[in-house]
Amino acid sequence: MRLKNMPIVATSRGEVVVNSRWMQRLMTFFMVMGPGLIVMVADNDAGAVSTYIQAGADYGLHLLWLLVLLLPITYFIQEMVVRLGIATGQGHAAMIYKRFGKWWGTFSLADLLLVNFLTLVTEFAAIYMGLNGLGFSPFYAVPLTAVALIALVVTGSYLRWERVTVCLCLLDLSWVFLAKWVSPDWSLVTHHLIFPSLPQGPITSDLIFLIIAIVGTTIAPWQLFFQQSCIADKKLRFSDLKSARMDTFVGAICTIFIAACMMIVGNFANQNGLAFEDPAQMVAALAPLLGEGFRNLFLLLMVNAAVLGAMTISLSSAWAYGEVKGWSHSLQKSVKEAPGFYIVYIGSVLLAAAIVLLPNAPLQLIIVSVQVLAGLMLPSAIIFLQLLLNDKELLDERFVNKAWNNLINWTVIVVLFLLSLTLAVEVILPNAFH
Amino acid sequence: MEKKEKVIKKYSVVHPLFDKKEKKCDVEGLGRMKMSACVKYALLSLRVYLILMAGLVVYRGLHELGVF
Repeated sequence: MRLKNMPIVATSRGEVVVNSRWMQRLMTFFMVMGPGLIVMVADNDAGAVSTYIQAGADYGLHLLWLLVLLLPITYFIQEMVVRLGIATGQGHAAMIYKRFGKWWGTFSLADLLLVNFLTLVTEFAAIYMGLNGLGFSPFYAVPLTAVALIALVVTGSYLRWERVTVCLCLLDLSWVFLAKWVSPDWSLVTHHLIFPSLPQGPITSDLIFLIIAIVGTTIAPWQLFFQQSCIADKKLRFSDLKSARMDTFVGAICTIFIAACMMIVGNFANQNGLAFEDPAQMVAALAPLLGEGFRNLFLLLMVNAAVLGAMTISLSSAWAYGEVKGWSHSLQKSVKEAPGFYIVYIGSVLLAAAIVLLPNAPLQLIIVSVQVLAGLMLPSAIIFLQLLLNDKELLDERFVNKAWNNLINWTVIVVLFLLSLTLAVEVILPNAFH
Repeated sequence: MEKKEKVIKKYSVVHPLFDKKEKKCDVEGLGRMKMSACVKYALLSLRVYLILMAGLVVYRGLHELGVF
């Protein structure tokens, strides 16, 4: 029979039979792949587009090395989440609640929900700008985007949601075309990726805060909650650890690669001496030089980044709230089976969409609040993660941190603490460093 | 001559969503984490950090309101 010799045969729902170990590993990876890739690519959201473009526009290619440095850091932090999620089958919010008590649990949840919601408003502000730039009326396009975001999640199928979201993540890789479009000096790009350098002139507070903003954009608190809940929802098994790590590593490479492409695009604005306040203004100024095709693709990718950010951030809120409340909280469940989980998701998406349509919405205040609250949130979320990964009562030897993990992680935590503190102090007390 | 049939080994791969449920590390009966020196100092520094940040926010708020 011919079927007998085929390399892959689907036998039943969710099961395939392959005829080599190599194919088995590959198929396992493809089945496990998702949470790591999604969380990493979605991290390049609207705020990230703005930060990386600004970095390129202000300092050219000089900060590319920072992205390479952030690759292992972002991987190590998310890898801890992978271990914790697979070992316990529960989300990060639930773990904090159960192991650190009600006070820390409530604090973490409240902070997460607040910072997530404010970030969500900034995502919708970018959707508004992007769709407006593409010629759509925001008063129809923004509500339609919100409806599409809801429709994608409420299908009652984790797999359907994951497949569509992975496609959106792959679309995000198109930033490479924009980077190629601006024809950078690739040898200079390679040089700045490998050799750390700072822009000529004195080190200003603006430069320091941009570096802090890049670090804060690459490692965000919601990512910890999102990936652990996603892994729990996907029911990853102990045997999936290797593939889940690989998924996270591939995602980390993608996010850094996309971020570098954004910085290269920003560098083009720097070379042409263009001044702008936001990415939409920048692309409008670039259109006469690079054409309408460039402008449209840029705006489309900006909307895609904001859509990915909006979906993952709202989901991390819904999962966290559902876990702490003890509600049913799975994408595998229908709206009828998990009403509370979906109400949090739908409510936050609709409210954020409505806020950006309000005339005179306080967007600047919201952006500042996001920076302050994220500064507060990140160190606390990472400290809980580090303590949980050293919890030998809870985790067995396979999952608990090794000595080298702890050395790296405590160093990263101290650096992040100092950076978050510096950023928050600057935002709260603008003249503190001048 | 006896005809030898080539035996092809088969490997099964099951999607995690459709696999049997496995027993995870149990958190339910454990209660709160033991307060070792490391946990105590980590939570203490977190408290200090949060109090400091809350103080800065209050200061900025009062400043904006023109209190000083």
